[in-house]
Amino acid sequence: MSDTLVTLTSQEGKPEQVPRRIAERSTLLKNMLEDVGESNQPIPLPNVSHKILKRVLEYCIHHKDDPQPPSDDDKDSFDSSRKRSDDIDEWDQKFIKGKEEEHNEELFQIILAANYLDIKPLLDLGCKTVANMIKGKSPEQIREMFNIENDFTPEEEDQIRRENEWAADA
Amino acid sequence: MSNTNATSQLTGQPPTASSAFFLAELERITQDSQIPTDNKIECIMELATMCFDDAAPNSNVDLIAVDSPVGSCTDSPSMKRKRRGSGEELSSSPTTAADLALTAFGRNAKIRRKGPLSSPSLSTNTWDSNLERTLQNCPEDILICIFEHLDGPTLCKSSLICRRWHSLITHFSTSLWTHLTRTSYSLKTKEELGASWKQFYATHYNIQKGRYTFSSFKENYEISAPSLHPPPPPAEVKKEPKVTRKFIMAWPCDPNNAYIIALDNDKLCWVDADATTVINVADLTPSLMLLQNRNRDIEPLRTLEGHIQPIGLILSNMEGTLVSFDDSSTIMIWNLNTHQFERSINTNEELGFIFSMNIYKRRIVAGGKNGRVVVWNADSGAVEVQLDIPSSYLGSLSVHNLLNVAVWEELVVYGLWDGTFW
Repeated sequence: MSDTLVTLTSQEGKPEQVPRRIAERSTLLKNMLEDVGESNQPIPLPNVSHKILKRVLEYCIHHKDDPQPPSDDDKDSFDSSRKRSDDIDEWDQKFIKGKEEEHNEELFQIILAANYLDIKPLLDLGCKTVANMIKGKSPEQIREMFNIENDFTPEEEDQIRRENEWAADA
Repeated sequence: MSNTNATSQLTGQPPTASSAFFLAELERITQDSQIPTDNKIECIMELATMCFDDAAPNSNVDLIAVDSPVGSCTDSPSMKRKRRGSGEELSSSPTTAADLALTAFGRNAKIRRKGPLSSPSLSTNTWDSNLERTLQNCPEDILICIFEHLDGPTLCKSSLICRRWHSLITHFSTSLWTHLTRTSYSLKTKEELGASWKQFYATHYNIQKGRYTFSSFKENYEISAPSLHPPPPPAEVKKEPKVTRKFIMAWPCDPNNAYIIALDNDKLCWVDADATTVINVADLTPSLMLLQNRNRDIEPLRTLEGHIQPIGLILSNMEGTLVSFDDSSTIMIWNLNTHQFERSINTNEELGFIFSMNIYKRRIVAGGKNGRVVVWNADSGAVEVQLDIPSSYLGSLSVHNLLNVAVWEELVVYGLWDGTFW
């Protein structure tokens, strides 16, 4: 049953066949497949481009044997390992890095796709990567890197800076 | 979306976008505990009409009515968004899609919990636009997820990036800082701290950095809480777990430069290391709750002068009375409301060298190097109780080991260096 092939159709309408077990790394697809039961209907993913779908599936294939992430109900039993941002494993690091020139754009699309498809470890990986990019940068650099406009008035900015003074670099 | 339809026709795929969309949306509605059953049926009917036109048979709806859970109110905003975004394109109705829907419900319309990052459908519409996809227009749930991976200083910095980030970080500050504090300091406890997690984190952060900071803790910061703290370096740490449960911690950046500090409600009193006979008083305004002396000296509102020798300790009774003693064993009592000197008590006669002191309401207790503990009345300056610590308690230890005294109601407590309390 878990070896049946599932057809996923990307934004461009291009079908992609994967074993059901791989597709089920995505909680969204897993739930969907469970509800639908046996069906060879292709599943359209209008929010994911084909290129990103391929990347996401690459991740799912590599991690196909990982244990399923704990369900949300266990969230209270706090798992400190999940939140460390310095422990990205080598394959993941290489994977998320992708091609240098389109790194940011692709990274962001992968995060969105992971969020949409509900693949928590991949979402975490993407967010960790962004978090690591933010660390050690000045607010100005962060804005520049992510193309964010500073919409504070100088007074507001000053106020917030003072509130957070305790953490300012010595 | 229009893209999908165009290409699916090209590739000869049946246009099943509507069925998947219907399924996803259906699941979202059934899961949403905020929508009451009645509204759910309505939502689903609307959805079905939208997706399949008339193809959704009424029997479907009946099934749903039986299976869907009861909750509380409101039509979901994302449903409206969807409708706007994709309503027109998705009007064709292959029977297969309706069948799919039936299967889904026939099975049982399972109720699953939504992911903590909200249902995936929330962020889908970002893709419909050709807007530049940057963190500027990144869905909030993803931003939160990113913030969760930041360290404290970076999180603080991030709230400086733009209004949106700032309001998000402020809004989710409790959960973000809880996470952070737990991860950073490996706290397994689920107990809520009276102080905010952010302040807690700030305190720890600065202990680690060896920085001098004071922060004021309010509310139910229980007396047991200090056990969570790693023992700070040999520094002056004074806590006042008084009735008001407000106390202050001082972490000198340099142990040689130990600070002497006391808090009386909204007044902060301290002695500077370079002017050891003068007590400074400042009002503790909310913006002054977290101070970092390194960058900015607090301007004292008032100074209380009178001591001749370097001040050893200042304490407040949290009711506007400040007591201090200096190296000549003179206790001075000040009124913090009027900033007036009230009286001084020379304890040399009773105590020899004064070692420790405490105050409760208008009673002052002090312990001397000679092993004697004396209680004074601050109003009259008269000795109320005087007791010698039995020499058997002191044993072979010298009186240098007398650590601390305290008075509370009618009780006098003293503790010895070796940890004994009486």
